[in-house]
Amino acid sequence: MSEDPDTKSADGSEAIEREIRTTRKFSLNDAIGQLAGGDFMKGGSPVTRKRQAELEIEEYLRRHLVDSGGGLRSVLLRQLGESLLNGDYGQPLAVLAEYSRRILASDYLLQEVVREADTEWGRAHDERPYFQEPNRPPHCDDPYTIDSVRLALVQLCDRLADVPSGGLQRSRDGDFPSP
Amino acid sequence: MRLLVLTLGMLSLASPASAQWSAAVFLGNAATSPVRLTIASPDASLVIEPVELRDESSSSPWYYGGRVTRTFARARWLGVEAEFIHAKAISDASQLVRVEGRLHDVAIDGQRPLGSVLPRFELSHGLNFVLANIAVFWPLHSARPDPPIVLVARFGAGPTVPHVEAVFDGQSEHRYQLGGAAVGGTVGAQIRLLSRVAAVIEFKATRTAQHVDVGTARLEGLFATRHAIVGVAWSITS
Repeated sequence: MSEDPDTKSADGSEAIEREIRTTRKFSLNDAIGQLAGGDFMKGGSPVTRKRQAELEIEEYLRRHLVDSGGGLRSVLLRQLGESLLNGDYGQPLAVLAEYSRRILASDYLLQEVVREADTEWGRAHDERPYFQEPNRPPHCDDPYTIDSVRLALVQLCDRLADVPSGGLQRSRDGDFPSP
Repeated sequence: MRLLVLTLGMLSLASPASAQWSAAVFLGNAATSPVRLTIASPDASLVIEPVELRDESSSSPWYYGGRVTRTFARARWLGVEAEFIHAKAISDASQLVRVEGRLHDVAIDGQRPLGSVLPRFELSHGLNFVLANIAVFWPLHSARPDPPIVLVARFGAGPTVPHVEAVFDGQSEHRYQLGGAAVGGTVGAQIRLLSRVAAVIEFKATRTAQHVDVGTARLEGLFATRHAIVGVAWSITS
């Protein structure tokens, strides 16, 4: 009767492992790796679910938010990253849609987002930021005005509304931070 | 470019004994007509118009220029010149413009603030012209050896060297580039103040098809600029 090939293969692997261990010094890192590393990563992703959700939002914003300066995108990503700590990782675009609607529904939140986008722009491009005062015309060199950010978010919401409904289930209340 | 080569050739071929040299420096004010900008990059294809541009001629760095002129004993009415002009063109990010095209996956067609698609676009150091001119001089009192007023017309062409300060799609640009070719025409007058010193008053019009790079994007537009100039000219040799 022939020998089971699986058993033969396992014996071969153990022999190779023994040979490797004879030439290696013992270290605590190795020991922890051997204990935890066996089945620890099997079937999983080394990227956390939160990070996956952030990357999905980041990619969506990069492709669908009209924000050539990049400041508004950074602000939304930062705010949404905080919200995702307690949020539903499975529906990141729903979190984004709800958060955008919430900003548009509040003049105060919109002004704060504009202010943060201006700050982010100034930091990223080493430029002096200009902050638009409520009910005042913007400075001529201000790339983020209340109107321009409102328009960008309205168009973002319109595009998110075109996403198939399965990808936009409403997330739980309380998932969104105040900017 | 051909005109530049021709001008340099004429300058070098002219005999020193027959030539008269003069130099001029000037300040002025420039106004550029609204521009239709096209932007092409791997991720974008946009047409933006009309983009209005400020000149800020009187704020640092000021509008300025200078030129060297060579005329000839056998044809004192004709001169060849090398001229440099520093003008500026600066866009307002908050102005409303019509935008048509695509930015990443977003189709855009409508009015919106320029800053949402082109947050910064400045040629503030500046829109620099390097022109080779042919000039024609017309003394008003030609019988006098030193006519008090000389009318001048000149036509020139040459490269531009814009200093591009721009941000598009997260990419920044802040450097001198070799821009498009420019042509310019001038009418004006030289008013004699002293034996070798004259005041210069001119109106100039230039056109240049600019193409500048902002990261991976290329911006193109036709810049038509009107210049009003006052300055001083010195006759270096008699």
